[in-house]
Amino acid sequence: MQIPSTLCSKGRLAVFVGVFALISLFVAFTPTLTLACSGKEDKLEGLLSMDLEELMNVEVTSAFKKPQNFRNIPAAVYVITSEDIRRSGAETIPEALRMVPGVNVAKLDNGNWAVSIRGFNGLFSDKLLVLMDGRTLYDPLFSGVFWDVQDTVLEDIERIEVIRGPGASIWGTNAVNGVINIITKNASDTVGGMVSVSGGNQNRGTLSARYGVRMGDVGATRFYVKTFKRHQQVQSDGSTAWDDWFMDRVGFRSDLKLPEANTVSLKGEMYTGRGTNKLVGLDRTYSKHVIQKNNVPVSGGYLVSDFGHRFRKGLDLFFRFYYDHTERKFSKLTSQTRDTIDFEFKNHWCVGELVDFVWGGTYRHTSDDIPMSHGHTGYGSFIPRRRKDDLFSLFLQNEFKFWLERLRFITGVRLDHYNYSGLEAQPTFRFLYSLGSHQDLWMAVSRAVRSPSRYNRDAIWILGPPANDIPAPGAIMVFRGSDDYKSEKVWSYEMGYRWRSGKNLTVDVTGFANFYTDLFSGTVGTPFEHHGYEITPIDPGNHGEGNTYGVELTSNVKPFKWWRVELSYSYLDCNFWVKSKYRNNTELTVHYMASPHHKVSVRSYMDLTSSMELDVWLRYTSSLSRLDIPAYTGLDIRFGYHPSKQLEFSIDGKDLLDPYHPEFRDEFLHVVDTEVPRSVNAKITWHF
Amino acid sequence: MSGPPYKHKILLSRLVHGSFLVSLMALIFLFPLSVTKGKESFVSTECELKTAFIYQFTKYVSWPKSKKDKDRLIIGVIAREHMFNAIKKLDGKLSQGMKISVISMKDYSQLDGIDILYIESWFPIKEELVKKAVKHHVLTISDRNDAAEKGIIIALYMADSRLRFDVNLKVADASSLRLSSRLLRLAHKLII
Repeated sequence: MQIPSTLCSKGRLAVFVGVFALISLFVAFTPTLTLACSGKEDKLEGLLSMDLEELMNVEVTSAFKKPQNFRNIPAAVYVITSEDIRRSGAETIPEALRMVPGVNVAKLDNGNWAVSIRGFNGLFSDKLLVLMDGRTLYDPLFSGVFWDVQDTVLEDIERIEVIRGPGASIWGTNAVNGVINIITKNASDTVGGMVSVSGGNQNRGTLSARYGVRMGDVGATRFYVKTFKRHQQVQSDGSTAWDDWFMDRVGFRSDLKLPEANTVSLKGEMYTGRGTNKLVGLDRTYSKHVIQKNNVPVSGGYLVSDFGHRFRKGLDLFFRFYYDHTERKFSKLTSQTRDTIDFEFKNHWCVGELVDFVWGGTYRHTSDDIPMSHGHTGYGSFIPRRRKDDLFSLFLQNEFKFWLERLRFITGVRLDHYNYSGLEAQPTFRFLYSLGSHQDLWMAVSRAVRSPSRYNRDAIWILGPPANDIPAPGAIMVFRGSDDYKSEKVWSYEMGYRWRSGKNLTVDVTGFANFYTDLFSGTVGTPFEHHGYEITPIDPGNHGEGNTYGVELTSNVKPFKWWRVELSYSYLDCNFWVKSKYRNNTELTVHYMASPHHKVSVRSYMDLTSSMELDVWLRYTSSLSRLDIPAYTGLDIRFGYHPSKQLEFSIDGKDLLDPYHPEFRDEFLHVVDTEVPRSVNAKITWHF
Repeated sequence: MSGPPYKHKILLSRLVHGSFLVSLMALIFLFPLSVTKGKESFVSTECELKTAFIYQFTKYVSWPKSKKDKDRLIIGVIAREHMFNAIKKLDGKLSQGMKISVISMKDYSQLDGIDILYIESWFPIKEELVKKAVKHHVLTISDRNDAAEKGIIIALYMADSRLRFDVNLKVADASSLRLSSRLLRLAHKLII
């Protein structure tokens, strides 16, 4: 726990607030201005101007838990399609997420990523909710996602929806700054076989295989396996980082259409693997540093069942039940076994054609076992060792459409009751105004909370000192979780504009200002003596406050049928401080400032001929001065050749501009810094 | 630890909160105005999307030289009001130099002169219909997901919240209709 004070740019915030206020007023009065002059322009015209390929890509997303064209959603939604994933050459889900503006992805070591939306980046970005086919991937141990186990056959991902901004009123607690929703393909779309083999200097062999069978007229089922091994990365001096990583998984998905408008979907998976990293820690006497190899064996599995029933058009009922088991051992730190069961229902109901209700509820039970650590570094334990927690929640959302659907208002609220945080209300109010068929303006105000993690409440955790700072023998700092620690809150204000000019140009701009209260802070307590050691306690508190604001811009340009370019830029500024009366002995975590100000991405997809593709992706990320990470630019180039519809060869190079570069630094688990090396990868995919 | 001026931050944060609330109030105030302006014909997105697909299909099909009216493309529609109203909006539009005209039909007894027949899923697909359509060189389209298997040339259906289409090339060939390779490439499933 370290922590600089606060910072940043008052002047820029003032300018931003001014612009924000002006745009707000402009948006507010635009309807009046355009009412007078708008004709009977129909949104059908917009669809008629699209060609077949574009129509097939008209995305209907689940951003508001019902089918909806994402162009009509009053939120900052970005959809990564399966084609985007294929042509990006991404081998993991976090790599694909790099293309989304406003999402910060930094690789920590081979299996670990820091992925966040609109700030607060870290190994455990606690203000981001991630779901795969409705199953939450957010782990309550440290509040975050263990990205090393979140994977599937990438060819079977239908799309990844990234909703920036609070999604808590629909998706629940912890969707403070955004939601990432990974949706796999329906089994009826993956009938037949697929084998994909790839390898390179970092990817030491990846095999994905899937076989899907049709089950008469009722539906289809697919089975899949995926296995890979990653070679270790490097440290800043060029030495190896001991972070090799492998994973194996098998799974299935069945989608059935039963008589009388019933649908059933079953998904299951089992996985096992092992990550590795180098840890800097204290030895048993707490007097000197040791660097140790830390194996992280992981395993788990899940079963998800969905049931849907359509009473009539406009009245649907949906149930989901899932069970998830996960085991993780940080062999030199601690380990966790967690079982989660979750039951969810949802009812979508259209009243007439212009009013739309969705309401539903969730019950989640999670139980864990976190034994006391027994490694050399003795990082700590959780008291109680075993815990069972329940979450009850209820949500309601109404959408009202007016004026030929040009004006949409969405109001929603979610009530969550969680053992750790009590009852929390998370409302949202959104509106969208379509200026004809080509332009949309939207605005939103929402509140969301991040509930305390098991670590915040129950950990007794020996905080390792920075790598080169050996403490005086016997003087150690210990984090003590506290039951007084409560949820962090945000009020978020967002505004966006989408413009589509004919078939070949789209522009999407979003601005936001987030106001956080009760942010996590560490207060230095009075030192005491324990078994001959001088212990300085660090107690969690909610004494941090702050705001973040920024702009995200995406533009798609298609100058020719064979060439598409996507440009995106995002700007983020963060200001955090400790409430004035606690400033003497309280600090904030450095990761509040671990997100870059600027991010630029330029992706070019070029069809050289009908069977050859050349894709280039240039990414710039500005420096992270608090973590001493310089700005870096990544260049990925991919060449694909498919002699037939069934066969594809590709070769891609990633991060080609430098031999290796650092992207992030973890100061929580004290993993030795690793750098991301240049890599080359070749792949063959065969469909049969 | 020192932060930026605290009062200054509070003031700015209240400014943003305030400006948003004012804007939202203004919008709510404008509600009645927009409602009174807007109760015209409502077309659901799904119908519009299907219409856009049908319009695109007209561009990728060549009818035999024996086609009677070379200046007009007649779309017969067996569908409920919502869907018919959506397709009706294609009336007067041009495709391959032909002017589209949309007519509502109750059944398939009169297929002579019809170039495209859209059949909504509730309408039973019988062998007789397929035979008759083949005879009159009619491009048949239906929104049943098993339509192509039943002899309809294009099945246009919703799957995973997107519209997809299957093509029965066998029936298209029998009907002497030529479908462009682009259309076939984009088909989700081809029956050859």
